[in-house]
Amino acid sequence: AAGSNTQCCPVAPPPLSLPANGDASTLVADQASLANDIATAQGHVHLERNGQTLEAPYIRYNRKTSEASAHGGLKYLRDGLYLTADKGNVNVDRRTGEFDGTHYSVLDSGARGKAARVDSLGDNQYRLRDADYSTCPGPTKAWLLSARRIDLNRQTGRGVAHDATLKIYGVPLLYTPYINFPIDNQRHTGFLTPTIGASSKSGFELAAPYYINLAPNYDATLVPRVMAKRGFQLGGQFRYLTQHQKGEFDAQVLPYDTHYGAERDLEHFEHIGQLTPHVGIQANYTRVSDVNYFDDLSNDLAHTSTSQLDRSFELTAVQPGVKFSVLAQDFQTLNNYFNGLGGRFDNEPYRRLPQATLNLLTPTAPFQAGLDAQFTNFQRSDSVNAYRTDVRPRLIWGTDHGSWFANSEAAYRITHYDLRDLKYAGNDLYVQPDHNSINREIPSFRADAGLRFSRTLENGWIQTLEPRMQYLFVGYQNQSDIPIFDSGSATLNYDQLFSSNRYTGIDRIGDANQVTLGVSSRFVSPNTGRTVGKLDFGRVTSFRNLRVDLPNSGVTGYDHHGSDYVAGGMFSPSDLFTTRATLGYDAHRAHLDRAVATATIGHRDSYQLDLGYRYYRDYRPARRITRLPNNSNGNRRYETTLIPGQFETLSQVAIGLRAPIGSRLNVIARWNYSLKRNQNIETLAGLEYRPSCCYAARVAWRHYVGNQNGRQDNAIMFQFVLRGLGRFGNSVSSFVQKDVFSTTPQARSTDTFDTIRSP
Amino acid sequence: CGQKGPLYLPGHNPNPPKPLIKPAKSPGQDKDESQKPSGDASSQGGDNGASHSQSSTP
Amino acid sequence: CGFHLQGASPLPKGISSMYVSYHDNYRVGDPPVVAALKQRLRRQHLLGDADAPAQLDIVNVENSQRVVSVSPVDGNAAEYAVTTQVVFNYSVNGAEQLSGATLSTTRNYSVSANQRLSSEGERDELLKGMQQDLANLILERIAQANQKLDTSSQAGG
Repeated sequence: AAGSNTQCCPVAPPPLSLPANGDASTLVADQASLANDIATAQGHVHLERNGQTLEAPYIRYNRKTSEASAHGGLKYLRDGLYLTADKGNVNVDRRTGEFDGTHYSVLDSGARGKAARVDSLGDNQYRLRDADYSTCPGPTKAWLLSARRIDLNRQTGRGVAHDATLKIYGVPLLYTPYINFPIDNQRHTGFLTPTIGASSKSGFELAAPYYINLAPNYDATLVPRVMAKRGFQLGGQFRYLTQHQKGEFDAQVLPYDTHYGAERDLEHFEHIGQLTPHVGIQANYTRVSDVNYFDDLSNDLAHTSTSQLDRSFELTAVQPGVKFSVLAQDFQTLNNYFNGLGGRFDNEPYRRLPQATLNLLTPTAPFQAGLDAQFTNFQRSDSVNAYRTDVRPRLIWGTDHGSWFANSEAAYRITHYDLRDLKYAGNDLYVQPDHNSINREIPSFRADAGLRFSRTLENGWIQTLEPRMQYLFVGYQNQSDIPIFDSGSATLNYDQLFSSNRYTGIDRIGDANQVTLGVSSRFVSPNTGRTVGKLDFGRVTSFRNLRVDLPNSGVTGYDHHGSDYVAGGMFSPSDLFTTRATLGYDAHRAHLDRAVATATIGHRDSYQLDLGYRYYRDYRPARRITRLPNNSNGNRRYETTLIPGQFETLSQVAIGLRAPIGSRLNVIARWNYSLKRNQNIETLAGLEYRPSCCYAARVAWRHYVGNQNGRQDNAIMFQFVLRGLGRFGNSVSSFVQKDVFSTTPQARSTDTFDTIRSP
Repeated sequence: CGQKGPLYLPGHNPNPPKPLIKPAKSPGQDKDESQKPSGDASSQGGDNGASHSQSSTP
Repeated sequence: CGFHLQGASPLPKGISSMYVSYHDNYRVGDPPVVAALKQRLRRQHLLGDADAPAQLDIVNVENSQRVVSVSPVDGNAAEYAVTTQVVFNYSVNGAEQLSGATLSTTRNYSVSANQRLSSEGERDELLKGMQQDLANLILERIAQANQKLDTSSQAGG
């Protein structure tokens, strides 16, 4: 995993120990004599004073000037530095000194080597002459910096070498008159780990990020990147952080893409902050110069699998019990050659310019009064647009006695649509409103109760058991002529069984006269509190046929009689084995609507095998991809056409392997195969060669489905890292982890491929 | 080479530089104290005998 | 079969109220997990103010989302996994019982690129449900910590 500290190869613990407290000083020797303040000691002399320990066969120590000089092979230890030398002298009180013929090791950074001369210039600063510097253990150093002079400053955390030669396994590779490098975790301006690679879209590429540490709370990174097939690109990132505001600017400019034949650029901005403790803002903006931008210039899956770029600004004001927010949201769509079915099946989402939402809920118990109100202006070219106003007052009663709980809610929803541009109604294959004003009023009542049991199993695990029941009534109103702006069918899971609307959004409120029965059980190991197992099972049973439906929505998990049986489980008795499964079974048609099963065997840092199968029946409209003649730039063009009434089923097997081979090699492989189309979706192989803890070489090869056309792209990346001469860059696994199938949520990486958070 | 890391508000450095050891007292200052170094050596006085002294390792 | 109804209050004996605190320098308002915790304690008449004997400090609430499967037809994202992680401290009468305890939960949901608004709506619903689930998990975790507290105090008493 990404090692972040520079203490990579621990040095052998020094044979001396620091004096217990700073003030006492002791001088012990086989023989010692004292004559007018000069103590001459011989034979296993051991001097401790002022946080330093000096041992030598012979020491002359002047008590007045606290000068100690020793020869015949001395050992010297102080906070952060241990060295042995032929001879040397130390001013113990001023902590300065010179040592000749030394072997040193810097304790906290693991740096070590030999030096003809070491001058200690007072606290935390040392000057080494004719010295070797490396963090590699053992005689043959994987990498070694030998220089005429090296200054180490533990205060600034920097090392500076003059007339330095970098040797890899003793072979001189690189000479530089001056090199400045970090010796601790502090941030420092300078080049970060370069990345070399090649991909089918950009050919050979080299990226060498340069980091500029402007201030503790803002910094910049420039990423010059050379691509054989496309030319020179400059990327940049500016991050800032204040007490209540933080955010980031990102940009990439490719002045002339030789393959594409035009300038290409990307801008990204994100910000979040508090104007006052009660008023917050959040902004997000991404723009690319052309629709193929990510497809051509990024091999990070989170980018290549995106087809809309969000641009939104949201202002939120809160008081206890009150929340008011105004959102303005627009999108840049990346696939223009798209023949949708109109309405909600269009590649361009409706813009919300603006959406104002008010949520009132009294913070009281057992009764609460609430009101949810929302006004939205939906806008999209060549489509029916609308002002939608929705008001939902509600009354809640709820009580919780630990061993049981019960709550109920009555609500009355009033929705009004002011439709515009009805002339485009024909564009929507499924919903054609005929008048421009629609009103809808829907009452609803919900009663929900549950019991909480627990018991302790023989092996000490605590098992909880929570049966739960909910009755839901939602009035019926024919909504087939209401255009759909933000409604859709949600993937059915256990929580969804207890929600008060089987559709997301507001444009479709599902009628209901139903009971939900569910049971959830959890197994917890008492001392660590870790959840070792979880099971939940439930279903909605409807007393009447469900009449409100969503046209052309494939599998929703509901039919006239209620919902699928939904079962979920997780079992992880130890860190070495975790398995998860989620099932949705349609008893009426006797087939599975959804099945996801994954298993992880092995430990995160050593062997790990990931197995996964995912099956989503009819999860989205089927589509045909047809090739169009190339565009003016010679780029391939593909057209996507949705097929009404047909749906795509997702059925994929995934196998992931991480295996250390011996102590130096780390192999990562991942393979994802679509059973439905018996076609490879992603194959990936990564190798991290780590001959010693201070040096690593990485290579990763990836073959994956590109965007919009199912064409297979591939990328190969190399990275060489001299650990100790710069923070350890991301290991192959994290380069890989950013993509699909990794089990752990990744924090944002800071390497060259990811100056932009995935949109 | 540079080094990138998380931002922090001025004064809240997650990786503080090594603290300076409190500066040594100037030699003159502890004159009286050094008259009587606590080690056994002083008890030997001017005696140059090659006796093997007990080392009072802390 | 050995099941018994769980105890009425997640708090240790003799502790009648708990204060839930959450602080974020960059966002306003309480995340759903904090609102759910407060409401559940309010319903059990256990919600205390700042000087209540039991203190529950929600240190960090983080949502993250990533692509977990891709359609072979056009490479578009087909399934997201959304994860919520909560880090909290729990102390009774100033004595730290749980510090830096972490709980997280993950849900997968399928997406279709050309139904962006409904996918965003689904994600927000999922996150709200998951955080309410986490609120119950936190209270269960506290109840377990208290059992150790009670048994140890009995032993000590």
